[in-house]
Amino acid sequence: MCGFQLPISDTGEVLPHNHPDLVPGRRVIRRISKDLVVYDDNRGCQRLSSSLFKNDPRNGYLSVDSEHCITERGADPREYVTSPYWFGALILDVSEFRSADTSTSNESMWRIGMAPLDDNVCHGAVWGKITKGQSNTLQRNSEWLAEIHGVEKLSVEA
Amino acid sequence: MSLLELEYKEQAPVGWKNSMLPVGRTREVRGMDTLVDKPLPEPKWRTVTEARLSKLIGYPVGWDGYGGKPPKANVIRFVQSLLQSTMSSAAPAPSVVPMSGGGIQLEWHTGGFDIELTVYAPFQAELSVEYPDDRESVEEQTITSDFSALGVLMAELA
Repeated sequence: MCGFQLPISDTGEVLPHNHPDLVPGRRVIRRISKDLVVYDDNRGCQRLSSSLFKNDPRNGYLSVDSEHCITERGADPREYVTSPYWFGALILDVSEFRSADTSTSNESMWRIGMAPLDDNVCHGAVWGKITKGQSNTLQRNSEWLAEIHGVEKLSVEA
Repeated sequence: MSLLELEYKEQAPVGWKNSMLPVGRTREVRGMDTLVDKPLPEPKWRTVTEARLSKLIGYPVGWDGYGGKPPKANVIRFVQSLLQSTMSSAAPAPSVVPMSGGGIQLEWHTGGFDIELTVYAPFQAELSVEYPDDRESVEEQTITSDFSALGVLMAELA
């Protein structure tokens, strides 16, 4: 969006912010490494770990990709986030993040912004504490963008 | 000071140190009352977990498809000490899931239990438990020194 300047710290890091391009109705993508797949003996299947969307502010932010940013560049989102070899990806609306955020103070409210990397200009970030329960809610409310054969994700019905 | 604190050594090399398990050697009688040293078998969970941790420590920055850091060496050492202190030989191996900020999540989904221990840094962990019976579940209980609750759970799983 024209006119929006990313807030940058003295050390060159993007500071937590809400980006005007990442509003309800727009979607973000979470890439899935094979390391985030666990075996669930209780259910007799492989499934996505609850850590997929978890975040602790002490360790930075949760990384995502902006679908809008990718399509504006004429690229295919699925191909963009799985090239050259990423395992899979989930996609979900920004509004799902907003509804999962139970913060009661402005300070602790999640920030959803852009944090471009050298090799990924469409890299976004979610700043704030995302618990296991919230991570599972986000997983439940997401859809496969690049499905991993034989791996289950939490579903709304579960 | 907890037993784990006594065992954990910040500068210890990566490896299984200060074992509470019956590692080392035992003696058996062969032939004409000849005593022969014989190594005790390695617990299965330790062999599996060691292989996994050894792999993770060599991960590059960006292993998660973004700019994720590999697990920190002090987190790996701490996890090793923690498992040594809380797991018997018969305990099942955890799934070891790296976190983008350099932490590790250990997961057990077996016997009707769902147990997740997220270690962000040495002595900075969160425990979540869902029981197979009507006990009240635990969500992200912060643990900084007393990890005995994990030991109790591992005894139930063994």
